[in-house]
Amino acid sequence: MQPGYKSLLLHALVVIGLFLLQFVLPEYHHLSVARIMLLAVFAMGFNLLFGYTGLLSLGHAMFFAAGMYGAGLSVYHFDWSVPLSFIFGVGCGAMLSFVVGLIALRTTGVAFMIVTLMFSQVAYLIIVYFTTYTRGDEGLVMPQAARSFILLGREFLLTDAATRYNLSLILLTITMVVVLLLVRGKFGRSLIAVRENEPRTRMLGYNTFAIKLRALTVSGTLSAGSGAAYALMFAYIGSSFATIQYSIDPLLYSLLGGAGTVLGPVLGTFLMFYLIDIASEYTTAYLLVAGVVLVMLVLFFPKGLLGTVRERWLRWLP
Amino acid sequence: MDFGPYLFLATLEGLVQAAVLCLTALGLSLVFGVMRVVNVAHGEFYMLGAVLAWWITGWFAGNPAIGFFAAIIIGPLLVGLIAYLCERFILRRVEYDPEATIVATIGILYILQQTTLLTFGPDARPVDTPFYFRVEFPWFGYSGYKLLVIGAAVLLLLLAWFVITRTRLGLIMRATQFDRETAQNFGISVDKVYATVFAVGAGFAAVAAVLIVPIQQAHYLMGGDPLLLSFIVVIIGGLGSIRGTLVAALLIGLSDGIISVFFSPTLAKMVSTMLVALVLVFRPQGLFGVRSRI
Amino acid sequence: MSLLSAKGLSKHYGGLKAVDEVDFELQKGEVRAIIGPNGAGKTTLVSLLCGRLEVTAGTITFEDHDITLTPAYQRARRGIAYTFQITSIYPRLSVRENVAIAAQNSLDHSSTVNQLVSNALQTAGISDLADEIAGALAYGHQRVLEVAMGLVMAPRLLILDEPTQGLSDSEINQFCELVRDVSRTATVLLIEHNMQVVMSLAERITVMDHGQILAEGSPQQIQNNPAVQAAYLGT
Repeated sequence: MQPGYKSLLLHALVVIGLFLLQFVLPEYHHLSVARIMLLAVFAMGFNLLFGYTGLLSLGHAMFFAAGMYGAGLSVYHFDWSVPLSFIFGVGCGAMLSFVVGLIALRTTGVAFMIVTLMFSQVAYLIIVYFTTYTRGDEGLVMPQAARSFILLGREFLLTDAATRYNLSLILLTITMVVVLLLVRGKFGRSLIAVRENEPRTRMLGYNTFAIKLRALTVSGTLSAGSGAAYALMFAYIGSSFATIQYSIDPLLYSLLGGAGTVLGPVLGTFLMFYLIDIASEYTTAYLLVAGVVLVMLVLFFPKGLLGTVRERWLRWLP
Repeated sequence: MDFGPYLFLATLEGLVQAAVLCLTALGLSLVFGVMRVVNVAHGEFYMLGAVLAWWITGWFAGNPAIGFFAAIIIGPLLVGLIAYLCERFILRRVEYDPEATIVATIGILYILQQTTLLTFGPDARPVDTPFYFRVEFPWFGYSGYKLLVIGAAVLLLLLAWFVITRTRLGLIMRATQFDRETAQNFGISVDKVYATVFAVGAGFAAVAAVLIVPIQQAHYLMGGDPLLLSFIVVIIGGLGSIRGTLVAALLIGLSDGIISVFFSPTLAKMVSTMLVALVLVFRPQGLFGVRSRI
Repeated sequence: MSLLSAKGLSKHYGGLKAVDEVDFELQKGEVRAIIGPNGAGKTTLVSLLCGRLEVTAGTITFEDHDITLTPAYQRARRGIAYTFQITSIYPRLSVRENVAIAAQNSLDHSSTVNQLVSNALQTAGISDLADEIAGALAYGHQRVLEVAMGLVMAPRLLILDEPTQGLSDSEINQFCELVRDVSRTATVLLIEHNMQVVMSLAERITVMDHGQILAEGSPQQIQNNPAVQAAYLGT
């Protein structure tokens, strides 16, 4: 795990590339890429737990939803400003992931997968149950007041495509930096140690429970950030975002792009989004593509794209 | 209707649900018990059972009884075959690695579900009951077919119990579950056992669906709820314990049915889902299971 | 000066007494070997000391602190390093990475992680293997890697569980050199079946049988002890 300017340069190039991309994209794709970038934040958050710590959570939709509903409900019902709601959404995610972690991390492997899946289901059911406040599946559209906000003296219009794009890019960049810093340092090494051989790691003086809890909390917080931003950016919250589908998506993106790499989830989100986008033009059964991709990946390509690149050619890729 | 009879009605409804749940969960329990893998696509095998039942009864348009009889024999066999293919070409290739299997079965879930959407369509389609008769209780009339479902489930469970505990096949399955390596050393073909168990597990789910489809309808998304409920049952009952699965299915089917009738289905699901998560954390062996390496 | 002292240590599994009311003491700086037939309870005793197993009864004191209830990872931070009987390393990571993970928790705060790693690799004699993937190494080298991971933590007590098992003669000699080196800065406790290694390294020997301590003393005393001969040494 060599830290170094090569990886910094690569990540910087990706950010710059995405920044420049907005000037050449046609309108439809402009919106899509903004969406993709937010979903990539979700995937990166998920991947911190899955790819680096080795814990497969099947319930990350609940963290995304915590951010989404934390932000969305406070805007809709309490008329809070956008920045405040965003922070609140992120806070909800942080709290939820911490509490879930305290309970769920007493299990590992398959049991952990099922426990997280179950908790996520409960979260979904709670959203549906309190349909008077959340309007369940129908969802809520964010009011006009939440379509803009003032920060540091400047007004930001969320109805403006460029504003949306760049705010998403900023969130993506922040997430990338956070993950990169975490993963390259001592903490990242301890995550990998827990993933590779937990009993050994314990005997080397690591409090593996605390490490896993920290990883889950950061992972959940980042996912919530994605959800909160999604709600505010696209002005809609709905219970469909809390279903199992949204727990499987980040897994799919991470596996495709390369779990255990920083940029893998980003690449995976881009590819999968467009694969499904194209497929849905031909058929309503576009999730079939997702199924086939999953099976192919698991059978032939378990390291994903960037994971294979790292193994074969670029050893220094974080 | 007074409370007493209303409760009785709710209980009967709960028993029907429990019966179907028992069969479905048994399939999942067998697979997890013997192969130690979690099959997320289990609900889709259930769904396929129902969809195939609609298709097969369609051949015998005039005669629902014969159609149903054909469906309940051919349907599960076909589903078992599909399951066998999945096991042979996908699960065996990833060597039953727990994480890879879950991801692979998620993929299989989508493939089965979406292919059904493409061929069967998005609508719910009804299937005729094989016969109509009503049982007249003092307070209400009740569908005789539903009572038959309960009876059929009990029969099948007894059959399963008999095979597992009294026959050589059952012994081989239990040996493989207990210690895979030792079973191999005794000449048991673990591959064949796994393939059989996986196919039989799927078959049970399919049978359950064929039984229930005249009461509900066949729909390409109908696998989701049974999957979740089966999970709940298997974990609370204790992974790998048949007895535990049955007891838990009874408890959960009944309570789900009763809470649904008196309160709301959402609340019922919430309670049972939360229960599962907590059981897994604090009492992972469930009610009857043996503390084993999950 | 006493480094570690265990009193009345017991570990019961249902009816089986794997370790039965053992009193055990280690002096600072000594090299102690535990020997005994299979099933004597050696690994169990040592697992109780390093925290891998919870005691059924008894107390353990390390450097004047009671560590009976202290979790294993904290004992490691206090300076008790343990190498597994069945090699437990990070097979998918490089040798350097393996040692680096251990080095992060080293009690030696005077150098950087990279320096600690280089020093440990050199002391253990596997510097040339630094970039190899650990899982691909020969078994003997993996054993040495494990010792290196223990070393780099600058432990006060290094526990080695059957370290020479599976090593060739020349590797065993190198290993003994390494242990002598280590014993200059740390107390060493090793479980061994290879009597030559025991005789050449150990300053004192503890003999276990059926969960209890049969005898304790210098190598000479143990060799001449009739009970030990009957139970274990055979020849």
